[in-house]
Amino acid sequence: MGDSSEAGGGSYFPGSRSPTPGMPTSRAHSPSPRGSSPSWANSNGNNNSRINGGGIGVNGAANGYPSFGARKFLGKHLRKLSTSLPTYSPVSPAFSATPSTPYRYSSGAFGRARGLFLRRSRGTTVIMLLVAAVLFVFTYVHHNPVSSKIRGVSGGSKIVIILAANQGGGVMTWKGAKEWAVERDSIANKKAYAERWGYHLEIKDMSTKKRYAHEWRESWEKVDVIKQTMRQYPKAEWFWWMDLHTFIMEPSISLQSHIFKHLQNVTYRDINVYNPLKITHPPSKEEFFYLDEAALSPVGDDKAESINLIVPQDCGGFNLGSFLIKRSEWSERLLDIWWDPVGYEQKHMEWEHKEQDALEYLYTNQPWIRTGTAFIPQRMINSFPPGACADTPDDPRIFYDEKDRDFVVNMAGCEWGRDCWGEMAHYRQLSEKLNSGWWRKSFG
Amino acid sequence: MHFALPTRNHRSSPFLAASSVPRAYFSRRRPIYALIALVVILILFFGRSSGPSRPSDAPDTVLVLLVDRKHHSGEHIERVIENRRTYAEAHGYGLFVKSTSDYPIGPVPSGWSRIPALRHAMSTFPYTSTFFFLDSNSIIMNPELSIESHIMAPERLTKLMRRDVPIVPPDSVIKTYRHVPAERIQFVLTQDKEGLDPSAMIVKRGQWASYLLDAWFDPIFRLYGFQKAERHALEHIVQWHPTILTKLALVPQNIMNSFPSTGNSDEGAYEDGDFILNLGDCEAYGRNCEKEWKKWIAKRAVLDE
Repeated sequence: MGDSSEAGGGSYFPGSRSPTPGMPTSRAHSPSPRGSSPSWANSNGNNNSRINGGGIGVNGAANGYPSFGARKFLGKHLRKLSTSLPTYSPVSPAFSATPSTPYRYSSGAFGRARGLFLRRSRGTTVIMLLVAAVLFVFTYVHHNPVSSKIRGVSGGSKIVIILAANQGGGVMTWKGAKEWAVERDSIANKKAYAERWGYHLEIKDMSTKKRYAHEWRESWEKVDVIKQTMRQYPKAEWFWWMDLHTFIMEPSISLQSHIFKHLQNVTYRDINVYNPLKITHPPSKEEFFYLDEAALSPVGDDKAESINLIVPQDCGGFNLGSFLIKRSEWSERLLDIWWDPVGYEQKHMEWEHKEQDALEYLYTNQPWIRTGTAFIPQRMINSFPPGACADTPDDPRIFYDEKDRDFVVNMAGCEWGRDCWGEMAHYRQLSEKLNSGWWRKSFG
Repeated sequence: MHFALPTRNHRSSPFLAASSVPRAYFSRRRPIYALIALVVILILFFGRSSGPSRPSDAPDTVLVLLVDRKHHSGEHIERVIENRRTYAEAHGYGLFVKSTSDYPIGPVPSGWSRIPALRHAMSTFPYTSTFFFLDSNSIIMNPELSIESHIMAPERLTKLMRRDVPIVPPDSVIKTYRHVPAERIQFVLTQDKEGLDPSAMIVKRGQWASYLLDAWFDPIFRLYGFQKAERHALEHIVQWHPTILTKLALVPQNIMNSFPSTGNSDEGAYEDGDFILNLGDCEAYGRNCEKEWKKWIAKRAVLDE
């Protein structure tokens, strides 16, 4: 369509500077540096030709620049930068001297808005900048429903928090007032966090039920719950499993900034960094000479892309109270092989911690698991309160420290002789205290 | 055509005029710069993504053979290796020969060695995509057939794949998938009337292969005491784990695992022209592997040179 109107080179629109009768179409849009006719280019300085770009260059060809090679274009560009930058300013007074074109500043809402934009005064500029700043703060920095939505759309919705509620409920225990309070606090905590950052939150009922026809897979349901959640959120990438007795202490920290943006730096592949289970790693070259290089390396292939599972370790080994798993073929296989009837038959009495022990077993015995697994220092996502890991009460790698503002507390094992409700209330209040104040709540 | 107002793309249009990119940038052709830029981008891209390059003499298929020096004489083992070597040389395949006792499998039947042997072959031939494990009691009867055109080419495999058949005949609940495309298959083997037969199997290199082999070789299965050791362990994982079943294809027995005819018209009985003859459990009491081998190898088709 542009061509057809240009083809009639002689047609004269109100906006065109001058008619160029008989101009060949291909030359019509001159990028010439001296494209603007000398008569008014001189009076207006460089600002004009810069602002108006090629649109006013119609005279160029007529002025005797018939050839426009690529070199010319680039040359023009460079010259423009050097000559016009220092003098150019959006509020340059020279601009007001521009002979106004009838089309550009013609009446009508559009024309007026455009006029305002181009001929704004210093005051208008300041106001516009202020509005932009406020908008930016409101949509990106401040915490409110709108900014959460934006965060969700721009990546947050790729993260799903799976909260395991009601563990062992139904058969093993009867919920009292305290248990309800713990559950309420824990859920509210995750809900607020997920809303703040635009993540999905999926609360899963883990009560003990006979769900499987073939076997009484008592509370071996972690795997099935993760698989089910992955199906529910087909676009999500990372899944963060959290037990009920966890509390996010620092809701102002996003998972992206805390972990995913620097996956390689916050995780470690070589379990020897912290190895309470004393797993031989890497597999010994004498016995496992048949494995490939990556499987025999202590760090696998050491690429961030190959990290599919991020597990913290406590004093007793892997801890699945708070861990991350990525949707991938690798995890699909892990979730498939994790529960196996032969393994279950032989080991379910021995594997007290069920999936957790099974994962430790798989990690030890199936080399492909090692190449996809990374560990994360426990206090990054799973700090313990003083009561847990009672055998090593002084280990600085394990316990929550208020001064370091640890991200998450996991009151692991509080249901066995400790006071879950008391601990939860303590950490909730501590988190509120640490994150109190209008500023922290809104912008932290 | 002439309109009352200029079109959006016309030179007088305010949309264009305010643009920081000159209109001419889009309307003019500048092939040299575009070409140079493209080449630079391609060099950067491929220069980074390709690691150590593939040596030109790397075979695309490797035969894996495990010999049993405990039960077979050195002379017989030489014959077996010779059978494989002629075939491999004719098609440009690699040959990977190890002894069953080379692998630390623990106190379990030697058949388990095939799993670490496959893993070993994969780490020894890092640029090979297809690995063909063939039991030492099998004879390549028709060396004309190449693994690619006879079995693995997707068009061919699509026709061969046995879909919706029970993993363990005649009536196990788990059946091969009906709609898995041949391109996705990573593991090809046959089935006899008792179940899956891992004495001839083709495995494609990849993460999935490591998963299959590691899961299959897990001590939990190895030491469980399955009646038929690795055979039953394989049947177990195939039937319980869909991520394994979905990459597996069963092909008719006479494609790569015919057995000597017993006189009855059994399915899978060897016929002239079949690729492979599997003598089966010829170490059993009352049989003699070497004699049977000699008898059958005489019927082997000879390669035209």
